[in-house]
Amino acid sequence: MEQATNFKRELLANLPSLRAFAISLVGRHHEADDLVQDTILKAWAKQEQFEMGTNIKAWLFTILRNELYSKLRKRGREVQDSDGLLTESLAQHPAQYGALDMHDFQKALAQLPAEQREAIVLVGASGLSYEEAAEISGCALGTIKSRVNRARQKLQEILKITDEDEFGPDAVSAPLTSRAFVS
Amino acid sequence: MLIVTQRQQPDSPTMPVGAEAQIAHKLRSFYLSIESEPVPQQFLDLLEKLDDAERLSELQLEDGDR
Repeated sequence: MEQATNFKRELLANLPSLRAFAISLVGRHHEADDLVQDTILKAWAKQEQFEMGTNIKAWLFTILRNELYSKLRKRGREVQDSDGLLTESLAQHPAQYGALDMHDFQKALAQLPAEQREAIVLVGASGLSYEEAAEISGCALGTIKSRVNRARQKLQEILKITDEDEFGPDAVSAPLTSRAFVS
Repeated sequence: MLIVTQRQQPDSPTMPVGAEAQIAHKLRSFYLSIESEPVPQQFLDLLEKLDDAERLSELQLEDGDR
């Protein structure tokens, strides 16, 4: 009983990042909600397998990622077709990120191959380590590193970002940004 | 002005530090903007339901033991 309550609390605490991970992968799409819901159900059913005190975030992300790929496979769609979902979601919800800049960024993210997108989101945004990302994606550490590098380079190309551009985190997002490293 | 010139890092010509930092910043802002949204009620309801169902089945198990 105690164990279950802790598990529920941990799951609750990680829902915002689980949802952010889903939306980063497939866009602001009903598919993202379905993924989060299926992950909650799966995680709940498998909670005995989770060891309290270990990284529940990585555990949940693994479930979500496997759900996504097995769904795509069942539908006979290529894994790469999560890109297709992203493109649909961009057309449907152009203004939901509040800032136009965010929309541009997601458009750029959508142009990455699925495996590169997954890698850069895991390592660069979710606060997980390269090692954890490799485990979640089921590949070698070196593979994750090269995916992240390629993703970065491609994003720079798409967004036409060079070193000469003006850069400085604004007052609103700077404190938020630093929080990403802690979680 | 001074700060801008100090940011130059000549040892990484293919991946300029400034540009890399911008990508990192944009990615994290994007992710955090989603993460800071309130969790949709449907997920909270689902967790409550799962928890209630488990409590109920545990109670029934205890009854069965007697």
